[in-house]
Amino acid sequence: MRLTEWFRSTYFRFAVLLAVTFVVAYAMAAWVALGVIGSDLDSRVEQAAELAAERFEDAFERGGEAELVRAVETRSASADPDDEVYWLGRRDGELIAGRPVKAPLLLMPGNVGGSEINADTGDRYRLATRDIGDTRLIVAFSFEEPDAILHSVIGAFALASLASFLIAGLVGTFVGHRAQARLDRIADTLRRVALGDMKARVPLRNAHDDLGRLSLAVNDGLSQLENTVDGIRQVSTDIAHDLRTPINRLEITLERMRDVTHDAAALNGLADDANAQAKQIATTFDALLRIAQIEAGARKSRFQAVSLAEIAERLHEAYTPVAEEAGQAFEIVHRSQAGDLVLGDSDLLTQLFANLVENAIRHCPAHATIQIETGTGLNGVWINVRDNGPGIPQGERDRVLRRFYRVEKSRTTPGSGLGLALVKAISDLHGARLSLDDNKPGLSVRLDFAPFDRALIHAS
Amino acid sequence: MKILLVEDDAVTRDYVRSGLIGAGHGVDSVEDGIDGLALALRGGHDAIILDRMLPGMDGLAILKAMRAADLSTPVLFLTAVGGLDDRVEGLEAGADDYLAKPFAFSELAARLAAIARRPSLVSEQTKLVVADLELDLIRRTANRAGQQIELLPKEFSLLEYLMRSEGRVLSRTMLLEHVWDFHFDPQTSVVETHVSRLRAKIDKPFDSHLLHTVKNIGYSLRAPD
Repeated sequence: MRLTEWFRSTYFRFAVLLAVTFVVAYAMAAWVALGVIGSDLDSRVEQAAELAAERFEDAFERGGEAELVRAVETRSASADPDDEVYWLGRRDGELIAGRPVKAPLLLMPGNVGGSEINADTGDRYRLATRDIGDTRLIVAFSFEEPDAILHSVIGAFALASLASFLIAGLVGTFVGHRAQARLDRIADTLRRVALGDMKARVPLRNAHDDLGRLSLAVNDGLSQLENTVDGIRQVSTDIAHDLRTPINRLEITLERMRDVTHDAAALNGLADDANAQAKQIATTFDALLRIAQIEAGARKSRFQAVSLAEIAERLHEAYTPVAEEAGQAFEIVHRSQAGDLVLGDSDLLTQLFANLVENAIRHCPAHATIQIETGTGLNGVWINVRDNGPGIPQGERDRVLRRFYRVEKSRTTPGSGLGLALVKAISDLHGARLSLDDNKPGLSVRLDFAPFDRALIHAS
Repeated sequence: MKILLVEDDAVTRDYVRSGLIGAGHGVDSVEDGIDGLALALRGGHDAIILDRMLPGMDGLAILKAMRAADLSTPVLFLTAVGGLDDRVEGLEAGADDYLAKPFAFSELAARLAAIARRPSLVSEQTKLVVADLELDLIRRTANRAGQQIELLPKEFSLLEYLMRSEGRVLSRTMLLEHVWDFHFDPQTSVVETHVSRLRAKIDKPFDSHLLHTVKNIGYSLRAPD
């Protein structure tokens, strides 16, 4: 990824925002803390200055001016002149004890700069003044200590801010970079799909976080898209391959009509042929599109509760006479007590089972027995259509579900070769398990459906 | 009847139009959806044949607009081949029947006759009578010339539909949809077998025949001339 892209990425912005937020929060905390600490330390200095002044007043009361002068001299001598300054003088400004200051008579209680009291530091000082007897006392205490403490606290905060800015920035960048890389993989996958690689999928490492779920959703969508595209591709191929022959046959029939224009009866016969051929083409076309639409899952929105036993009943009613005409027996067996409902499309399921029953009737000889059986088990609802006819050889059972595949010996019987492909498509649409087995002898086709309530939960 | 035909394909339009005129109907035909809607709303048609795919305005939208404007003229909806949802969508939008392309004219004529003559009052009839054949809808019994006839449930439904449509041709597909609720083309002779069994019960033992086969189209039940 280019640097400019990285700067514009959501995750980079997020990292910067996070770091800046940390620093601002730190600065605000520091401001509040310094304010509280600073005023507390300042008031200690003020109190200390007042206290010192009061002690001198006490000294005066104990021993008069001599005691006061002694106390000031002792204190002044022992104190660090940078920290504490004492001045005792007459009301006219004449110094008696302590250190000389610039303009003792003008100094008022409060905060003053160091130069006012002849101190050579840049510190601030707190002044306390007293008029004691004939003298005036000035006590100045330096704010150096609290100021130094504040400075080191500010320094510490600044350092901590810098550290947290760097850490937040680094962690944000690292996490952001990883997330961005995952987003890039999703974008890259979609780009590959757009270029025609329908098999491309987002690599999944962690499927539990938000990007993982997004990746899963993207992959699901891509699978569905691949199915649809495959279906369309398959239909196009099928049409190209398998409609060419009947269309060619129709052309030949139409061509032959030219030759018999004088013979009305022959012309009529050929017109009937052409009609039937065109109808067959339309039927095949219809079945192909139907399969493609079913495979694309178009009908799922119309799913509702369907009773398999009820469908079996209807088919039994409809096909019993047909089977009997062919000399076959058609039996129905119900093994379900109750609740044989599945979530599905009634029309399509009817067509599915009708296809199976019709296949049995058409491929079985006279005296065969065809059975349709429905039942419920622990794992769902099932339906089974079986016969004791010729069956399908083991190796061909998977292949018969493909479009246009026909077992060699049945090529001569009518049929589009799409019946079982349609069965497979409808079965897949319903998420049913379709299995073809040997009925010893004959064919047994069984479909297992999820029970209605579970299918409903799954669908929602 | 006066029929409005909205179809954009010229060959299909001429085919249907000449067929309808040949059958003695008056036909207004247009190829554009918007013209079709305007003409339909002017009124005066006994039935409308409406194609699903049209330039200008989609057939489904026209149908909805017509029904929204309280136009109750029966509509036969023509759907494209393989349109799995077209039937349901068409009926939901207010079509009276549908027909998938390609279709034979006879099929169209049969369906058109059925919807155009759909009785305005589907009165609570309790008994259907055609010639000497009687169907008691309450007791679910049939008799002809005073003789009781035993019918299976599907045979009864089949006969009821044929008697209700007396004199009209019902196509094989119409019977499949109406009697069996089958919306696909069976590969076996379901209809033929049932009709032949019904015929064995209601016609064979009697002198005159009521149930007639209309070649390549379907069946019709009518009183002898």
